[in-house]
Amino acid sequence: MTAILDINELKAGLNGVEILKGISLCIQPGEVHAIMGPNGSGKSTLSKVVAGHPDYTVASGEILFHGEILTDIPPDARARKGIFLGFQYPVEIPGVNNSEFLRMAYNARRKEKGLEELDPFDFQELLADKMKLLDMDARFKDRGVNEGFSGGEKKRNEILQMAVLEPSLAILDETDSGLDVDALKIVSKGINALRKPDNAVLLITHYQRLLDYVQPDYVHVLAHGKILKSGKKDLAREVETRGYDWVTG
Amino acid sequence: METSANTLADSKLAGREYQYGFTTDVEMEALKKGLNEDVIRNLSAKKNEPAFLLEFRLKAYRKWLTMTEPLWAHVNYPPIDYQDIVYFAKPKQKPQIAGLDEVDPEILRTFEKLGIPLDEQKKLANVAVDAVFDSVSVATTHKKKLLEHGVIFCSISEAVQEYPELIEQYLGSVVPIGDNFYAALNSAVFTDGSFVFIPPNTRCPMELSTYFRINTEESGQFERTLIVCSEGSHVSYLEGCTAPKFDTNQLHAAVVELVTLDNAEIKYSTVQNWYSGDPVTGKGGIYNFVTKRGLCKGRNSKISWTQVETGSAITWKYPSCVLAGDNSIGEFYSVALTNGYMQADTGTKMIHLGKNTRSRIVSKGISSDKSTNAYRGLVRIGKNATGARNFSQCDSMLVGSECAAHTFPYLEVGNEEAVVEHEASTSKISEDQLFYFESRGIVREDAVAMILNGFCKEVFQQLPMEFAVEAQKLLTLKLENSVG
Amino acid sequence: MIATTQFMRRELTPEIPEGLLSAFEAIPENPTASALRFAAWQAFANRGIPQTSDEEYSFTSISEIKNLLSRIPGNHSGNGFAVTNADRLEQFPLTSSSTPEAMVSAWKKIASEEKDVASALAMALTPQSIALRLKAGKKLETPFPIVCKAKGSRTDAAMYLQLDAGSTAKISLASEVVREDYLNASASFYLGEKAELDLAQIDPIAGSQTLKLHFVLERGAKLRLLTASTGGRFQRLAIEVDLMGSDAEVDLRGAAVVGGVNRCHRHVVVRHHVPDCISRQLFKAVVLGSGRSSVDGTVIVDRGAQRTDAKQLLRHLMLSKEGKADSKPRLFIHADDVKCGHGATVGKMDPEQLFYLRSRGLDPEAAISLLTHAFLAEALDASALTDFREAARLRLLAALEETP
Repeated sequence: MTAILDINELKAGLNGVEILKGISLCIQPGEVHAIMGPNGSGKSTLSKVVAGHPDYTVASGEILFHGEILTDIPPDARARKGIFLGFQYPVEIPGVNNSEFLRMAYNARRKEKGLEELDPFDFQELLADKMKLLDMDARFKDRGVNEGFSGGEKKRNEILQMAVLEPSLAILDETDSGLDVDALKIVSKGINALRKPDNAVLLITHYQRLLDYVQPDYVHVLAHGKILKSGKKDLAREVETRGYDWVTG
Repeated sequence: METSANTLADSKLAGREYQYGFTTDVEMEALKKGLNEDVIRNLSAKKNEPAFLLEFRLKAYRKWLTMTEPLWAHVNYPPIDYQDIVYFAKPKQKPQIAGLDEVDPEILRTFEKLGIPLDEQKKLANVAVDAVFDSVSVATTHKKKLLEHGVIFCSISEAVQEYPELIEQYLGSVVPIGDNFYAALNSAVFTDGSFVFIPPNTRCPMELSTYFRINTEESGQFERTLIVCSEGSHVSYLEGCTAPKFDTNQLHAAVVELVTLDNAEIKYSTVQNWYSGDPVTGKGGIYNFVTKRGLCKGRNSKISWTQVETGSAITWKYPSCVLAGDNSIGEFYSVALTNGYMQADTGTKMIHLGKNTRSRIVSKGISSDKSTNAYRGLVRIGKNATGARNFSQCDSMLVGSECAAHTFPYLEVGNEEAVVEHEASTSKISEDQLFYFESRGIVREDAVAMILNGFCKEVFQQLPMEFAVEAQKLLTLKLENSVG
Repeated sequence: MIATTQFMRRELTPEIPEGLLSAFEAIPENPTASALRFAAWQAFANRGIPQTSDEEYSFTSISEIKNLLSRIPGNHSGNGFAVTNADRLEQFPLTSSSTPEAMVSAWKKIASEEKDVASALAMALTPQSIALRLKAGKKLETPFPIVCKAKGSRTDAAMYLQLDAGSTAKISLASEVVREDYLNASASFYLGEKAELDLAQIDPIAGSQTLKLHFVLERGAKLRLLTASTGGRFQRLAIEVDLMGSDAEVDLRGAAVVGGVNRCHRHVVVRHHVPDCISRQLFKAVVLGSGRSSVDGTVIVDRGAQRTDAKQLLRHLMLSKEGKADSKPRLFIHADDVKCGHGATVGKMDPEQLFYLRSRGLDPEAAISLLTHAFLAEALDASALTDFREAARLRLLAALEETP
C-alpha cells in the first residue's frame, strides 16, 4: 500500500535561510502523527512546505503524496488532491463570504474527483450538518472569511473547513493554541470524528495538551530543523515532563 | 541689540520663555545688505574659493533669479525682501584659527551657556562638535582623533580648501542648485556648515554634531552640510539650533545633503529650537526654510532622519530620501511641536527608485495655542521599484481649541509589486486622562509629560540617549502653560 | 529684515477663453435663470481655467482639463438633466417664474460660492437647468432615476434638488456620454432637517465627464452616496459636502475599476462646520492595464466643530505594471475634541490571502477574482438602491474581465 505522505531527506528554507535540515517522515492511511517541538524548530515551515507556500523553497529531498512528487505542484492543486492545512494564524479575508468561499473550495475538490458540483441549496444542508458537529453558530456562514473572528472561532472555522473538504491528509498547525478547555474538546471531537481508515492527520503542536484528546499513533520531536526522536504516544508525555532539553540536549 | 543675562533666561524657564534668547556682543565683520553677482564674487573671494565653487554659486544665483517663492505650503507670512538681508557675517578676527584659545572668548561662553562646551578640557566626551556662529564655523572638536580613523569632520569652508575634489564631486549632487527657491538661494550664498567624510568600512567612533547659532539681527543663515558615507560605513550625526530673540524675523535657509554608498548608513538627528517669536504677539522668530535630502546611492544602504522640531516661527522642511540603490532603506521619524503663533509645514519625501526599497515614516505633530502644524509627505514608487514598501504613521495631538493640525500625505504608485500604507489619527490630552493620573497621585505636569512622552516614544527611541532626554524636557517645558 | 510691503505676491490673471464668454452671452436672458447664471459666471471668472499650480488638480492632467473646459458648448435640445415620473417630485424648470424664491436664492448662493471651476461653468453655461423639490415629510420609497443626456462635443448641465425637513428619497443618477463627447455637470442637493437621501451615481461608460456633486446637510440629515466608475477618456468627480447642522451624518463610498487607458479621478471635500457630525469616506479602486486612478480626499473640521467623528479610507488595488494609482487623504483639523482618522493604501493583492484561498483548492484566477470582488464589495454593498447597485457591480466586474 502506498503511504499517504512520504517525505525523504527534505531540506527547505525561507529567503535563502535553511530551516528544515533533512527531514524524513512516512504516514500511512489511518494514522495520526504528532510533531512536537520548541518554538523555532521548523514545525510551521514543514506544514507550509507540504502545503506549497510560494515563499518557501525546497533545496533538496522530496515529498510524495500518494506516491506523487509534489515539488512543482502549485498549492491549489495540492489542496484539490486532498492536502489540507489548518493554519496556525488563519488570515482574515473581509468581503469574501464564508459559506460562498467554502462552497467554491468544496466544488473545486469535487470537480477534481470527477464528481458533479453541489448546488447552493444542497451545500447549505451539508454545511449545516458539519456546523452542528462543531457546535458552531449559524451566523458564521454569513460573515467574511475569519473576519473579526476570535482566535478560538478562527480555529473552529479551520476544522469546519476540514470537515467539509474531507482531505486525505490534514495538517493541523498549532490548532490547539489559543483555545480554552471547552473549545479544545469541541475541536478534538471534530478531528476525531473525521478520522477514517483511508485518511491521515498530522498534528503540529507545542504542548502535549491536544494529544490527551486526539490520540496519536506516532509522535516525533522536531528541533533545529531535524526530527531528533520518534516514538509511540508515550513520547509526548515524556517530553512534557522532561522538557525539550531532554531531547535536544 | 538686546542682551539678557543667563540668570534671566533661567528664571523664566518655568514660564516657557525662550531659554536661548540672549545675544552675544562680538565684533562682527559683515558684507553690506543685499544680493547681486558682485556680492557673490566678493563673498567667494573673501573665502578664497576655487573657481568651480564660484561658478557653482553664480549658476545657482542666476537660476534663483528665475524662480519664485513656493506658495503651496500651509503657512502664512509677509513677503520677504531678499535685498534686505546680510548674506555674510562673521566674527572679526584672524583669518585662520589655529586652536580654540584663539576663538573669541565671548563665543566660547555663548556655546557654554547653550550647553555646548567647546573647550578641549570640558568638551563632551563622546561627541565631536562643529560650532557654527552666524555664517561661520568657529570650532570643531575631536578633529584629530577622528582623523586617526580616517574620518574627516570639519567646516565646509575648510573642506573646500583641503578636500576640493570631494566637494566638487558631491556638492549639489543630491540637491541640485535649481531644486527649489531656497536651495537655489543657499547654493548661491552659503557661507559655512559642516562636512563629513567616512572612509570605507569604518564605523565612526563617536557621534558627530553641529551646533548652529544665529546671532546677528539682520543676517540670514545659509549653511550647507554635506555628509558622504562610503561603502560599508556608518555615522550618526546630530544637529542643534538656537537663536537670540529679536522682534524681526531671521531667515534660515540651509541645505543638507547626505550620500550613502553600498551597505553604508547615515543616521541624522536634529533637535531644532530656534526662537519661535513672541508667544503672545507672534512677533519675531526664525523662518526655517530648509532643504534636507539623502541619496541612498548604493545597494543595501540606509538613511534615517530623526527630527524634534520645537522652535522657529515658520518651519518649511521635508528631510527626504531618494532610494536609488536596490534594497536601500529610508526612514523619517519626526516630532513637531508648535505653540504660540508658530506655523510648521514639515514632513518627508520618500522616492523609491530601486528594487525592494523600503521606507518608514513616523510623524507626531503636537499643536497648541494658536499654532498650525501640518504634516506633508510624499511617497512615490517609481516604475522600476518592484517590491518597494512604505509604511507611514502620522499622528496629531491637539492641545486647546484654537490650534490646527493638518495631514497631507501624497501617495503616488507606478508599480504593481509595491505596497504603500498610510495611517493617521488625531487625539487630545483629555481631562479624563489627566484626572486618571491625578487620582493615582501623579501631579498634572508629570501626567502631561508622561502622555506626551508616550505619544512621541517611537521617535524619541531613535535619538541618542542624551538627546532623547533633552527632547523630552523641551516638549514638556513648551507645553506646560498650554495644558490645563 | 522682513519688509511687509516690498513685493506683492504674484497674482495670476484668470484665464477666460473668448469662446466661453460668447457662449455665456448667447444664452437668452430670463429673470430667474439669469441670476443664477450670472452668479456662477462671476465665480468662474474669479478663478478662470485651472492653472498648473492648483493643488486640487495635482493628480489630473491640467492640459486635458484645460482642453475640455475650453471646448465651445453646443446647444442640443434634449440635453441636460431630465426626470421621468416627475409627479413624485415637484419639478421647476429654472426658466419658470413659479420656482419658489427661496430655492432660487439658495442655489444662487451655491453658485456664487462655487470654487470648482468646472461646476461654476456648468451652472453658468447650461441653457436649461432644473430645480426639484421633495416636500416636507414626504417619502419616496422606490428609487427615483435622474438621467443626464449629453449629445455633442460639449454639454453643460446643472440641477438642484431640495429635500425638505423629514423627507426621504432614494435617487439614482446616471449620464449618457458617447466617445468623443464631453459632459460638464453640476448637481446640488439640499437636505433639510432630518431629511435622508440615498444617492447612487455611476459615471458614463465612455467619453469625458466632469461632474460636481454638492451637498448641504442640516441638523440630523443623513446622506448615503455610492459612486461607481469604470473611468473614461477623462472622468473627474468632485464631491463637496457641507455639514451645516449638528447630528448630521454622511457616508460616501466609491467603487471603481479603471482599465485600458481610462482615467478616473475623484476629488472629495467634507467639511464639518458644526459639532457632533459623523462623516465616512471609503473609496476603492482597482487599476488594470494602463488605467490611471486618483483619489484626493479632504476632511475639514472647522473651529468649534467639537466631537466630530470623521473617518476616511482610500484604497487602491494594483493589478498591472503599467497602471498608476495616486492618493491624497488630507485632514485639516481646527478643533481639539475630535475623532479623525484616515488611511490610504496602494498595493498588490495580499499574498497570504491568496495562499489561503489556494490552499483550499481555488486556482489562481478564481482566487484573484474572488479577492477582487471582495475588495470592491465593501464599497458597493452599503447602498440601499439594490437594483442600481447590482447593475453597477456587473459593470465593474465586466470591466475586470475586459482587461487581461
